[in-house]
Amino acid sequence: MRMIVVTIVLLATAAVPAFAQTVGTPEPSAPSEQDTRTDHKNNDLQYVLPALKLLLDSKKRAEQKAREKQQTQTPAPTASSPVVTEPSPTVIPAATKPPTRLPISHTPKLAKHIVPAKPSPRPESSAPAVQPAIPTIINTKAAKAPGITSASLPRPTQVSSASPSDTAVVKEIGLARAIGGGGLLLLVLAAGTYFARRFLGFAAPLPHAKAQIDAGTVTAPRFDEASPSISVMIGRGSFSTVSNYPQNASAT
Amino acid sequence: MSDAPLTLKDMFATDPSKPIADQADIGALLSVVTAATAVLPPAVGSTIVAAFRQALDEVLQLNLGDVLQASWGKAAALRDAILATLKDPESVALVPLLDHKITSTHKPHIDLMLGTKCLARITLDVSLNLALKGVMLEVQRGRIAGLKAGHCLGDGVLAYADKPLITHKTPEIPLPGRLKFTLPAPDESKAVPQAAV
Repeated sequence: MRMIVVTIVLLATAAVPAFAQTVGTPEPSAPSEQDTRTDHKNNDLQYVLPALKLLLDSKKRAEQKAREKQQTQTPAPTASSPVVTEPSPTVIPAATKPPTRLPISHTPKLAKHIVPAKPSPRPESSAPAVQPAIPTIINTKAAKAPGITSASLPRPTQVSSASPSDTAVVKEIGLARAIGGGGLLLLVLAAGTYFARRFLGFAAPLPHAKAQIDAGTVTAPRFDEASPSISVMIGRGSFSTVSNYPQNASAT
Repeated sequence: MSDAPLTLKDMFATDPSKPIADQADIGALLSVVTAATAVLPPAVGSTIVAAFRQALDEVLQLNLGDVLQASWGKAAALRDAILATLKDPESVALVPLLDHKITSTHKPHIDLMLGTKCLARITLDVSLNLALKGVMLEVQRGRIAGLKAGHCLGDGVLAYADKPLITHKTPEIPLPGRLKFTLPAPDESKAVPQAAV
C-alpha cells in the first residue's frame, strides 16, 4: 500500500505543471525556455491527466483517511499550524530516510520527463504529496554515512560542451602547432650547429687528420727552403795513359 | 808519411790533409756555380759552395795504383807473369820494370743537380806526369799483388776551360806499400796471343 502511494506521488510530481495549469494554480512569473519545452512535453501527457486525476483523488482520499486516523490517535493540531508536518527536504539528513523508499527516483522513463530542480514555492494548501524534491536529491551512498548531506558531497567534474567537430578542429590545430614547434626547434639547432662549426671552430678534425696537418707544417717549409733537392754529382769519367815503356821488353 | 793508398790528390796537394780547394784558385769555378744556382733561394748558395768544394776533393780521389796498372798492363813482361800465375795459382812472379814515364789525362766532371734537372756541369782537366824508377811488381794468381820496390816523382796540372787552377810538382815518393791495385786481370784469351807475339 505504501509503495503504491509513493508511485502516485512520483507520477503526480511529473504531472504537476500540467495539473496546475488545469486546475488554475498560479503559474510562475516568467516562462523560461525550459518551461516552454516542458509545455511542449506536457502535450504528451494530455492522455495521462485523467488517469492522474483519478489517482490523485484516490490519493487524497487515502490521505484524508490517514489524517483522520492520526487525529484520532494524537491531539488535534491548532488551526494555525500547517497541515504539512513533514520536514523540509533540504534539512532532512539522508540517514533519516530509509534507502528502501528511494529506488523510484531512478526509474528511467520517469526521469526523462521530470523537470529539473526548480524549487516550487511551498504549497500552502494541504497538498503535501506534491513535494517533489525529496527523492531526487538524496544519494543512496551518502545515506550510508550518517550526518553527510548532499551539499557536502563533491561536485561532478565539468564537461566541455564542444561538439565533436569542434574537438577535431582543436586537435588539428594542436597537431599543427606541435609540428611547427618541432620544426622550428630543429631549424634552430641546425643553424646553431652550422654557425658553431663555421665561425667558432668547434668542428675539430679527427686526431689522425690533425697529426697529418701538424707533420705537414713542420716538415714542408724546411724541405722547400733549407733543404732543396739539389745535389752535386761527381763523374770521374775515363782516363787515358801513355807510357814510354817498351811493349816487348822482357823483365830484367 | 802515412801508408794510405796514393791518389791523384796526393800528386796535386801540397798538404794532402787539407782540402784541395784551399790550395787552388777556384774563383772561376765558384762564379760558375753561383751563376748556375741563381734560381735557388739565397740561403742555398753557401750550402752549394760547401758541397762543391768537397766535390773537388772527391774528384781527385782516384786510386793511383789503377792508373799505373792500366799503363803497365801493356808491357809484355807483365802479361807473361799474369799468364804463368794463372796456370799455377801457387806460384808468385816478380816482374822488374825498366825506368819509364807515364802521362795520364783525366776529365772528371761535377754536376749541379736540382732534382733531376742539371743546372750546370763543370768539367775539369787533370794531367799527371810521372817518372817511375826501380819498380818491381809482384804477380800472384793472375793479378798484381803488390809492389816490392820503386819510387816516382812528377807534376800535375788541374785546369778548367784551359785555365790551370793548380800546378803542382811532386817530390820523390816511395811506392812500396802505397799502391793498391783493384783492376781485374787481363783476359787470358787476349793475353796469350799477345804473349805469343
